Amino acid sequence: MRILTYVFETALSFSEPVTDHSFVLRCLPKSTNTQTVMDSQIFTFPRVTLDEQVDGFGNRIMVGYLPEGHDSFNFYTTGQVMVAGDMAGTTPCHPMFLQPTRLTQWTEEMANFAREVIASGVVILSAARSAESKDLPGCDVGYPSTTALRASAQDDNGLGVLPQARGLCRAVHERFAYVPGVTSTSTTAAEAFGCETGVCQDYSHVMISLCRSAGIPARYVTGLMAGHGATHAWVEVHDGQRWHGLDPTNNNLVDDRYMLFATGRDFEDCPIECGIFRGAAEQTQEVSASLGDATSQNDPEQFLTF
Amino acid sequence: MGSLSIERVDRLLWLGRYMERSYTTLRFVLTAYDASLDCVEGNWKGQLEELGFDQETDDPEQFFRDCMFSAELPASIAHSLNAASDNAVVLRDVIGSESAAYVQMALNDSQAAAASDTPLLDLQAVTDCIMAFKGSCDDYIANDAARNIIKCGFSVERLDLYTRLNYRLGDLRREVQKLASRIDRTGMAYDRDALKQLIDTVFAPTFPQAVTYEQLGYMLTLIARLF
Amino acid sequence: MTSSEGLSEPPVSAVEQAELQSAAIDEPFSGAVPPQSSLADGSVQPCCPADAVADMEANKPQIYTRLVGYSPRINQQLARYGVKFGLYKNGQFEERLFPFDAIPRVISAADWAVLERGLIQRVDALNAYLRDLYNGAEIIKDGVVPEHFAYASSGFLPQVEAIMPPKGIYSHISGIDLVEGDDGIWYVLEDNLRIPSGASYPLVARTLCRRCDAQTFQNAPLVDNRDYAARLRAVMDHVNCGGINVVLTPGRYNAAYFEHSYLAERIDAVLAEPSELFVENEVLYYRDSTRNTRVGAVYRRLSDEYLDPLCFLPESLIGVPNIMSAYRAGNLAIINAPGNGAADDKGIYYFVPKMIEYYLGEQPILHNAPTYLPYYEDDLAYVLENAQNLVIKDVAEAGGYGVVFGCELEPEVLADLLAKVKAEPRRFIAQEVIDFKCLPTWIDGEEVPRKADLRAFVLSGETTTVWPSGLTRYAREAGSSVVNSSQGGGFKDTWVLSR
Repeated sequence: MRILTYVFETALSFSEPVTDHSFVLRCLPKSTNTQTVMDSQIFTFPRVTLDEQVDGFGNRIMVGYLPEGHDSFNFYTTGQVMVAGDMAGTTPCHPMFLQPTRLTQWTEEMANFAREVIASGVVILSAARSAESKDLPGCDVGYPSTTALRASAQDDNGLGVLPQARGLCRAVHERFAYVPGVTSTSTTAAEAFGCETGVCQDYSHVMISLCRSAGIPARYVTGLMAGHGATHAWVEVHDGQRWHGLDPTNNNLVDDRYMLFATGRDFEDCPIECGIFRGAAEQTQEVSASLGDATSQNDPEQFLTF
Repeated sequence: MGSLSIERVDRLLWLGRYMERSYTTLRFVLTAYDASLDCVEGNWKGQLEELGFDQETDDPEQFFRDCMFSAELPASIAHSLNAASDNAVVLRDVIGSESAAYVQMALNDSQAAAASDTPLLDLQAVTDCIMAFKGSCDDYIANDAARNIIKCGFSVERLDLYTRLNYRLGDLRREVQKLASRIDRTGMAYDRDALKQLIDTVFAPTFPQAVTYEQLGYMLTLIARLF
Repeated sequence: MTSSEGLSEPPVSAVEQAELQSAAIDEPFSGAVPPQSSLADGSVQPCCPADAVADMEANKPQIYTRLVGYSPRINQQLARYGVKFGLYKNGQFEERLFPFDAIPRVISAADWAVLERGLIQRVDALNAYLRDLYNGAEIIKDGVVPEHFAYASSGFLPQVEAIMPPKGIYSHISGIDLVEGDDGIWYVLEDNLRIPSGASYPLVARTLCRRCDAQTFQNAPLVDNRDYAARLRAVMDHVNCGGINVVLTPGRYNAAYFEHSYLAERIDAVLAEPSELFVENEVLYYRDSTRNTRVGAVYRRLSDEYLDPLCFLPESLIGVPNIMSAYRAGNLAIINAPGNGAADDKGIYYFVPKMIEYYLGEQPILHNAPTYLPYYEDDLAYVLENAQNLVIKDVAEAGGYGVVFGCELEPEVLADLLAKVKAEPRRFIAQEVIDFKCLPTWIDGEEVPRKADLRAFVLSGETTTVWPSGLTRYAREAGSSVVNSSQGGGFKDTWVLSR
């Protein structure tokens, strides 16, 4: 368990004034079985009344409308969150997280790749088990699956969901080179899998596709990671009991260095900001973020001044 | 139903303008055609060029045909009726199916006339439908603002055409007066200064006897500024 | 307002055209009834026995006989009112008249009583299914509908999870497509719970027919169908969350634009395009030229994916941004509710009779066309054995795509298909081919038999009711069962007898 303080700021600039700007923000952390939000605030400039709602994926969304002309839109959010992944209770899994989406539709090749990784998974796990068993409570034996579909996610060796996912996480990490600018927000998992490069969004989409092709429910997560100055994306897999976070970009288990904003089937379900406006303006955006211990709040290295 | 968006206000105005344009143009074309029968040489196209009928042809029959039925020619009657119908179709809930039907029938009848061997005779049906539409506006359109906007469209178009053609200028006072008395009942935004100058011009004691070509041009800019 | 040419030709970009076309998926003009069975050699079976034709030619006076000759005149009147449908041909939008045949489909009071009860039961169960699916999904947990069929459907929208629509109604206007089999039994072919269209056509036609011949309508014991607008209005008022009623159309270039504008007029609602609406502080407004007017219920005629670019397809250029926030907040009724596609999909159709038992504890009154799910082993065996007599449908394909008749395939193509069915049984369903009845139809001056279907309209408001009429569409060609208007098919009035 750890108390984290976060600051997240986005500045959108338009090359000329825009009007009738409707938007949805998903930049406030939600309380889940792994984190509890103690405080969160949001400010926007220009000022606008925000309505808080919950979307179909259980995310907190802030909805707003700016009819008058403006050439920038900034939002700033900050708060405190208790993260306690190691003390998480059980949560159900919606079956939609087994279905492909247009960004995560897998190919035959990807399904084969996943199958091979899982088949060799015992090796990866046995190497990892001694070193990481402390971080992986209960992962060495698969949990009983709740549905027939998920039962297929256990291989002949009785290898559980989590070790399988861990293997896929590592495989994606090893296959990919982190290269910004090659892919875009609309790049599909299959395209990214083909070019073997991308950013955290692509790593996550590919891992989600591989998991689902193997019958493992998986979902997309956006949030912040300590020591990472922008937003981050990772993956959660459901082992029949609860969701577990895995970060294929860094080949990490998600632990108390991570705080999540929103979850969905893929990126399109939970963008941090989306908006639509009138005007032929070009939009540019600057993002800064920080996440750290509540006690280190005045560390100038870690926190920006707004 | 009292709600009208800006888009619909605009469409109502243009519905009125296109119906009036069809009607006045039709009358004018018929007159010009009739005159051309006795015109042995010289400018048999008459003032039609002022209306934008600038098609290059030496064949009077083709020329008048195009004035009436050419869909490509923006000034043609067919084009105006099409445009009117495009506006009417999306205003069905405001003007009602009965009024919309007269616009549709005017269009259908003009298409039938185009295929007829006596097109000029058959165009009478188009005139009838337009007049029926005008009556139907009065009787069937319950929304006061909508009815007045269409009628403002009639007036503005008539002012524009009469001025352009230097035609029945004596009627302009009555048209301006009708427009002025109706315009505030539409709830529409309009250029008050342009309306004032228009009133000043047509109610000047010397109008229309001493009117100059430049003055008419200026009036056209005022009319264009109104909405 | 400076444009000198006004709004005569609103430009439509290629992208918008594509969207407008796809927004028309549920429209009747793109609907297809599975063709009747053809023989393996490609020849078409005669649809009616020759003696049936002879019977019709015997020409004994029917209650509608006096009307028949008026068909051309009624069609003229329909042209006068612009009763048209649109279609895209070579990328161009065209509008065509929808041919009307004055010979009605006549349904006896006894038949109608059964249909009515069956349709109410079916739509009540479908509404219960949608309510359940998006709020806990007990039916899935109880194993009545397999998880895969529920969630692999492209009509399932997780974005509406746990949003309860006003008064708990998901499908306010349901268009249930039926055919009457040669055996005299009515079969449901398809449920349309998204934006079923077509009610306006018989509505207009009935009024015109009544003007032709007083005697017919004085003598025939007919249930009046001209209260459709009042029924629709009552449904909208029932779910309205405060504000005006709006009919939302994707625009002028939609196949059913006539219907959008006509229904708006008849129910005294405002017809609006998406750009005339906006959302502020969880409330939908109509952008009036003088003030903004709150909207309490929107009968939208554009499909889910284009409804709100901030919730569904982000690249949609049509749609009302954040309209879903007004819906989530309970400030707006959307008719029909978004997400209904999860219940009218090819794969789910099979389970509708089970839903009726599950939710209502009743036996289904109406029949489905006999359907097999290769997902179940027994059904798979049957499909493999009898494929030549079945129509096989790919659940993943939308519209008329992915529908093949076993009898029309070369043996090796059929074998390939069956291999696919074996490999991915969940992707397919198979149905017995229904031979459906012909109706006498007046074509080119004579009465000939033509196949016809029926779209019944079920309205769910304070109670569920069935409009005592419907859209009967007939095929243009003899023997054909393609009733699409784009293929030259036309429509008939549907007469429900009161005794």
